[in-house]
Amino acid sequence: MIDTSKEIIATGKLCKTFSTGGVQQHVLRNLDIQIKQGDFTVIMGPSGSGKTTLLYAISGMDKPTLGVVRFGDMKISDLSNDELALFRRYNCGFVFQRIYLCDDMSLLDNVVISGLLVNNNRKHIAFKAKQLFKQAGLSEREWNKFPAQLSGGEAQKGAIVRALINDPVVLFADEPTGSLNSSSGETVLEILTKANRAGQSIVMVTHDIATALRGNRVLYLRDGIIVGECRLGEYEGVSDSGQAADMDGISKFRREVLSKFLSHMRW
Amino acid sequence: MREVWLRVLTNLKKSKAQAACLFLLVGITAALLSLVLLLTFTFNAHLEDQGRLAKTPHFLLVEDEKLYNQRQKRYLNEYPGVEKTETEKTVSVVGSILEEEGELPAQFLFYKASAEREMSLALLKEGQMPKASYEVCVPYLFSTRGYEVGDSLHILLPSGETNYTISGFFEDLSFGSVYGQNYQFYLSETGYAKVCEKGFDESLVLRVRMANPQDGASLNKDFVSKFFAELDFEHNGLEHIISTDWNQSKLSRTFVLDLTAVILLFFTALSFLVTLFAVWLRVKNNISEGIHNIAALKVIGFTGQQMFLVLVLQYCGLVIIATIVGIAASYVVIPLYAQIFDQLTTIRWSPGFDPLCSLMVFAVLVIMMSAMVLVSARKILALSALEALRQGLPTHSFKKNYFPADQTRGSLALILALKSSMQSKGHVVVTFIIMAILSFALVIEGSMSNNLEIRSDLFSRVLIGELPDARFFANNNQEAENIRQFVSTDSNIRKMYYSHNVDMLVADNHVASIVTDDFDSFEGALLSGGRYPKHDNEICISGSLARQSNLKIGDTVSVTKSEITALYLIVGMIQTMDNDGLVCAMTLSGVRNVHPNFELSQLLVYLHDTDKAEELVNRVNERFSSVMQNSVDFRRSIDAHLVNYSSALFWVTLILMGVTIALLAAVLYLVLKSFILMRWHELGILRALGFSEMQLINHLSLSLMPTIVAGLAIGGASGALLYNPLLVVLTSSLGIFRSSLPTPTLLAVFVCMALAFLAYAFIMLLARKIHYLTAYDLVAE
Repeated sequence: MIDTSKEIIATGKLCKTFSTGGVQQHVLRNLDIQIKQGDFTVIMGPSGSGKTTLLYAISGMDKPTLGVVRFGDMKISDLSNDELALFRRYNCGFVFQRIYLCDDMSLLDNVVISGLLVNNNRKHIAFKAKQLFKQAGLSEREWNKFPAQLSGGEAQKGAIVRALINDPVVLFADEPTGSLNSSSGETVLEILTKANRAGQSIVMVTHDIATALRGNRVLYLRDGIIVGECRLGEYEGVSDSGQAADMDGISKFRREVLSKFLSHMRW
Repeated sequence: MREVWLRVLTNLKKSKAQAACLFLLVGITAALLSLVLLLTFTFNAHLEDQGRLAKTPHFLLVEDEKLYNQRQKRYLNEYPGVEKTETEKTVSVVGSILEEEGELPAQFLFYKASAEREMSLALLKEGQMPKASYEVCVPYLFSTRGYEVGDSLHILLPSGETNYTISGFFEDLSFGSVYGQNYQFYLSETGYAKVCEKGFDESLVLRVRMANPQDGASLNKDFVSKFFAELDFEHNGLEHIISTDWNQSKLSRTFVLDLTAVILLFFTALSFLVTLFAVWLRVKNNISEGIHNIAALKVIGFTGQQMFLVLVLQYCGLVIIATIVGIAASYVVIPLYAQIFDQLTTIRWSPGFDPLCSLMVFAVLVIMMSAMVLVSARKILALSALEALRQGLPTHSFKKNYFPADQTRGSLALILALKSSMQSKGHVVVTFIIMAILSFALVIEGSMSNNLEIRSDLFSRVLIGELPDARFFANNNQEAENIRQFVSTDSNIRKMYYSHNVDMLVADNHVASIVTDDFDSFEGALLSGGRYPKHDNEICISGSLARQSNLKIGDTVSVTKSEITALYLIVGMIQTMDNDGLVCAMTLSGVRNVHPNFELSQLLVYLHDTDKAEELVNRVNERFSSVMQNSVDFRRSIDAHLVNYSSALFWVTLILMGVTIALLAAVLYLVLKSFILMRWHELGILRALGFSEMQLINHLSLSLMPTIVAGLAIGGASGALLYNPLLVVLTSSLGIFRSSLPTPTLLAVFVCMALAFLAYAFIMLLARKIHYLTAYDLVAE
């Protein structure tokens, strides 16, 4: 049972500063955000606003310069690199824009290796991986291929399976459709939406409105500050049978709300 | 072209450390190869020049004046190729040089410095010719031993001790090498007269120069063979008859140098192979590491040829510069080498720039390395932009998914390691070969150093054959038996037996024959095949003699002493450096077939406490001096001669060990850094997925260490197993055909373990960066 009121991620005065050639660049400035269980949170904003930096800071991929990041009861901002690795292993799943599969392993191995980090039962992991592959629409022929032999869409689907293999508390997706064509992007979004409907919390970075419409909450970031937040409500585009939805299925209301919100933010 | 050069510079800047390692490898190989060529060609050319300058005779014989008869004169006049002959009077005396460390047996040839001569001109290197009767001009060998002009030289002659003051050093090209014990001394008129007054007979030095210097050796052989019965070395006493030729003289100076050059050449070949593989590996990895850049450049319009040119210019440029620097370094090192070998060659040699040698090194290295660069980089020509964008298909084999993670048992790190090893088979095989070559080289070098310095007695046994502690040479067998009775009361005696050396003609070669009935008592490594003779028609011959006369075990060979000839069956092969490796062994009854009145009068004594040898020799001398031809603290005497060789070789092997360790460190860094860099992105992904630092380090270690350890183990074991056969190959020219020197197994194991530890330390050092990087840094890099 998902407790949608339960706060799973909270930041306090989160700051991130990069120093390049002696010049300091403040990418995140005193951010206070909360993410609740079951949310499909979308982070939007112009290029260089700090979207990806925020995603990596709250997922334990990177350490904040100042401030606190809490993940459930755990204060992850104080953890060492190794402790963060252990934290990610059990709590996070990642989908990257550039996919990042290990290119000298088959797709199945990429997923199983990730699963073996948490569970030593090979058979169970392999079975679960194959189930997930099927759900993602990948055949045995594809999951036995190497990443370089797959299309971008197939590889990204594989990456989502890898992210889901350990039942993460939160799935973090950084522009997951950014390098895909519209058809492949759509399929990938369907998988994410279905996972969210099944209770998977997701935090996704995107700059694309259609992609953002898959979320139920949109945070708008500019110059390292959350300048606006928009609640879209539940996404209705996915049928119970799991058939892919087209844009016509998206409620006009949600689209209008988001468009208004974004046009307001961009001013 | 400008954009190509810019890419070259960018690539070099990006991989400075790897470029530096490759530079070091090529530089070391160039320096070693240059050293080998300089040692081999330059020194030999210098020796020939000096020979021409000093008008060194191509055949030289010291004999009793009355033996030089019309027959000999006519023979020389009629001998083809003889250009000029010359005779000079000399006093030839057997004695010893008295030094703080003890007595060194020697045969002195005293000359009148003022005598007119057209051959054997004394090339004065320091000081001047003697003027006063107490002055002597000695071979340059004494300078290398630490003597200086003005120093006193104490020698012991049968007439008693004589002291001289050294007036100068000359370069003696006929004798005066550490290999022989014959020394030519120049005295003033009055000094020479004083020696004659002591009752020593004058001998005659016969010098011959040939049209072709190489023919000196055949003249030596033919002359001695023709007049052997007249000369009868043994009957006339050693002090009267000495023969040598230009080839022998050169060999006595160059054989350690040649041996060193062969050893250096062997290790240069290994270093060359390692460097060749390293170049292959580096070019391949460069393509793999920079695949994204290659893709980007191809997309914007760089052609395959341009990318190929970038790699070729980058690596060939590096090879050319490194080769030039290596060759230059060899010219810095060669004087140090010349200094080490001064004592062995007894020739003052200041090597200068040799354009031909340098050009050869440059050509060989640049052509071979460039060919390797071209072969390794050619794949980039056919690499399409799409392939490059898709992570570079040519760098991995996607034919088979080795060790599928869902079916392979074992830890996660092990599975990952197995997978990445199988996907980079080329890298693994090359790493294995490089490690095997280097550990092989280090174990050989370590064993050589150990045998030369720590177990030098074993090395001496291989070179000399038998090493008793003392040797007593009596006038006859009865006196020798008296000495035997006398020393047998000493509780320090371990064993003693008679063994005598006799000169004879074997298959027309002037050969030193070891005669004894106690071959079973031999402790050295004399026998290299078959068995010692038991019956009077059996003989053992040395490998050098067998090779020279095309003989083998089972053949019969003619032996002549005086005018009696008999046939003997060859039952064994022996090895020693003595008498240029021309040696045979017979029983007493065997030698009596050609030398009926021969009797054994030389006693070899072995002690429990070898340090007391001198004391025993002194005691025997005190009692039996009147009936003995000589007595020698044999081991000390041999040590005094061999110390020069072994210490020079020891330094060479030590330097080679240092070079090998430098090569190893550079190669390890290159291989590991390339491997880690190739996987840096993968490490980032694994880190993002939740792999801990230790898991990543274990993954890297397990990917590389089994290959490294296997290479080290196989190389080390091969080194230990092939040490003796290799030594035989390297020293066969010196007459060594079997070696059973111990390989320090512990040392080999230690070397391999130390290298494995070094490799692991390198991995830890290189992987340390992971500790400071977040998953984001790793993925983003």
